[in-house]
Amino acid sequence: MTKQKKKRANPALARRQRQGWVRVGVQIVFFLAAPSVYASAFSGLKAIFTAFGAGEPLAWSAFTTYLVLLTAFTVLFGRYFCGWACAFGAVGDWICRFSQWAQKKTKVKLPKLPEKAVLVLQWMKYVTLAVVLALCFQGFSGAVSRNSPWTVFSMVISGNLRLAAYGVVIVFLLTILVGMAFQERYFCQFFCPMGAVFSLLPVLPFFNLKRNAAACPARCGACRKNCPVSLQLDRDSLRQGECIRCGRCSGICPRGNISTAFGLLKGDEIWPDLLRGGVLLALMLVL
Amino acid sequence: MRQFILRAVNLALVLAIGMCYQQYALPRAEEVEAYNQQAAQAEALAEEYAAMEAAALNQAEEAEAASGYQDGAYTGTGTGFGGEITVSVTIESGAIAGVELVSAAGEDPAYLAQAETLLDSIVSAQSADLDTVSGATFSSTGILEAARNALEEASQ
Repeated sequence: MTKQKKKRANPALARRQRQGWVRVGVQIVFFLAAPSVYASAFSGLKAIFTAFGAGEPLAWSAFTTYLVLLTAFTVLFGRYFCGWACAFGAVGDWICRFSQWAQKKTKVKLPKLPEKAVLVLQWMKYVTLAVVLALCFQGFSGAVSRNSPWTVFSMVISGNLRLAAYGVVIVFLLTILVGMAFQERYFCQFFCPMGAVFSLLPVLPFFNLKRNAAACPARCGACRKNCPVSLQLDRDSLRQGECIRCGRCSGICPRGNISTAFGLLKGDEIWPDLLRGGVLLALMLVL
Repeated sequence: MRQFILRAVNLALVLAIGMCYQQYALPRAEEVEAYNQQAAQAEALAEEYAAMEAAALNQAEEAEAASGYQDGAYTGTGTGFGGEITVSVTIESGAIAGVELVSAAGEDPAYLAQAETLLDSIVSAQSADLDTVSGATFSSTGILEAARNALEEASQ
């Protein structure tokens, strides 16, 4: 009875939770239908740099198709792929969600990085990208994939368990997965080379989340505190590329100050997100 | 807005560099290809000459040098990325006439598509002892292993 009362008293919370579960649902669909897209797209980029290094002409492959598709999609819609469709990000989100639930139940709080450290560490991913591409340029792309936690991850999710040769990489992967319980989306922010590529892309303004900062109460910051990538919206900085379109800022804003699509949407509506997901899924299944 | 322009310029530059590179790399690859073809022709001529010599020396030996494959269609299985890959090899007048993929249920389609180029390579090389396609090592290994097993079947 009390529970029902609570629910009726807080429709905003119910809306946020519904949106959160829709995102989990979309992530599950993509995890089952297209679990290796992030790695395929990055293979496309690695192949380009391997060709540069070897002096060979660039050849079009299925990997290039994924790379171009995701790049174009991100230019149009922002990093929707990262927030809703990437298998690695999805697993991280689920571990984090479970960890948050367990922390609430057991009343044990896991330590979190201070926001300043997060902002500094976000630069790390550009280093990862540069190092990996430099290695490919030098002709070590085989060594890169043999030592990549993504290789092990994609082997496990495709049911290939002949992992004997990957001891160190497995430990690496497990460390990454455990870390996800502490800090939401930390891999995507600090290490993901594909995330580095996406965050450097010019995103067309149609679906950018905008904050009407003039109407915000002083010292609110709810959107930033609730953001998985600690983003302060609407500053014209390089960091705007971090946004993964989860839409949580819009849901949490007490004044409804956040909007997208030139004010036509709030940014956390279910149908536009499902529509984008459907388009992306259709493209991936056709290719 | 400033950010958007910077990023757009950045992306355009990256694409431009790629295209310039391609302008330079394509003719270069053609030259390399032509050179390799000439080298291969020279090698083939040398081999032909050596074979003629050998034939003159010993005709019986030449008969033995035939492939040893029995005509027919043979299937073989190898282990790829996510499970077994089965290919079927067709032998006509002692030579590998065709290689086809029968099943590869556990493979990722994008990677498999990369490795499938090996099917034709096996026919043109008349052998399954080839290098794997980089970027699709697991699927390649599976296809080659399957083809080798089929060829073993054919040589019995």
